[in-house]
Amino acid sequence: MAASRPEIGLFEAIYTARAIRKLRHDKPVSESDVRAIIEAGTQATNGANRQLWRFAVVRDPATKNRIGEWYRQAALRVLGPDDNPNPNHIANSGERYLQEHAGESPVIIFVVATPNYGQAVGEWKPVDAASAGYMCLPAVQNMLLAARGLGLGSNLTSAINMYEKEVKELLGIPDECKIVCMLPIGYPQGKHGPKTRKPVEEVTYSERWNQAPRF
Amino acid sequence: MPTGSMDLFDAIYTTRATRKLRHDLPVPDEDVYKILDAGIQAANGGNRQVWKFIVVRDPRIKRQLGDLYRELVNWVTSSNPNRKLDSGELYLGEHMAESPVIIVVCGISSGNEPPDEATAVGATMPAIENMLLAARALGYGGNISAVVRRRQDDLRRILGLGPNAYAATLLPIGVPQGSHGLKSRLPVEEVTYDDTWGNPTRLKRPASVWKPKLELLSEGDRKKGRG
Repeated sequence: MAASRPEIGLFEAIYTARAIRKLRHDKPVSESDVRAIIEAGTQATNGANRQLWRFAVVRDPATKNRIGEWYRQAALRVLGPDDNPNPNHIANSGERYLQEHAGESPVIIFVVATPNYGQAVGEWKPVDAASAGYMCLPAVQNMLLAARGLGLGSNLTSAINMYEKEVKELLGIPDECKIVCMLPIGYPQGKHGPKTRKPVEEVTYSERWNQAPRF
Repeated sequence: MPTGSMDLFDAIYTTRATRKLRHDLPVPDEDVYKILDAGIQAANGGNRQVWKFIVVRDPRIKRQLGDLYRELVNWVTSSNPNRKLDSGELYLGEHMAESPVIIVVCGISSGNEPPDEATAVGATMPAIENMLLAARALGYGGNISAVVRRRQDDLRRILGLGPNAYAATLLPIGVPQGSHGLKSRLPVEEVTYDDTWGNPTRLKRPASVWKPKLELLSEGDRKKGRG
């Protein structure tokens, strides 16, 4: 591997970090890339710099297999089986692929939130697991961008939380922690590229709700 | 002079929560647009894009948001002696209303009731991270001023929020008074486990680790000999 990382512009990464669900199973992901992705995560914005994020890196094939089976069940519940698909969530081929092959991802990173116990003074409640969970999402976004920057693909999936209890038991994650999401990581079978989004004008107001933006 | 083009990892490693903003320098519409456009590229469930953004520049509305924010900063200070606010947080408590622009980030539901806090914040956090990165690359700074979310009724009144909207956070944006720079974070080795919880990771700091370019270091970073 080259001593210096190839450069990619921030905006290029932001605009082309697509959800990639079809990963190459034959091409491994280097340790230094896994580390770079996690480190990018730890650079994210977070309240009071509590850094409630933890990362469980799963490479063991037997463990991945079990996770993959649970993921398959969870995905089937979200998408519906092929012969009776969920009309409210039309599955694309990537989602169906991940349903069947999640366990074969070269590496799976679980982003886990730890609640913060250190602040229970008077009315001030400690940060509960649900809050800790969404506080970790900026880290997840950074990880997705970093993966893209390294030529890797990933996607933010939380369907595995239908089996949160089982996954926690398998990985030894403490009860009080919250699984934020599962990030399967590998080289894409296809390509990165732009996403479809409603334009800014359609989701922005000026000064007050319902007032058209002046762009 | 920032042109908006910046290496991804330079941006990731040097985007800091910025609370001390220049009140005299504007943020042109064109740049607000770029920040929002970067935000909406973020990961979001089912590509449902359940977000709305209110761009506030009107001084009267900023004044009301600033007053609300000050109230809540004072509440934080008085109700928890262990939570010491830093100078930036105290500064923003006094000067929120003078931010050139405040973007109010809202989560929305498809029904007639607002989503709950976890849903709304969860749906918008990835977008917010993209927005902070983009702002940084364009020469601006911002931060998540979320404590106001405890007062949805006040925000509804001030901003006329729709019945399906939850205001997740204020993002005051402007040119920083200081500069971006490095952040202090627990190293990867302290927050990562291999295969099972508690199993220390074998990941080591590699030779190709990101090294900051000298010009991206703040004064403080250089004095501490970081980078």
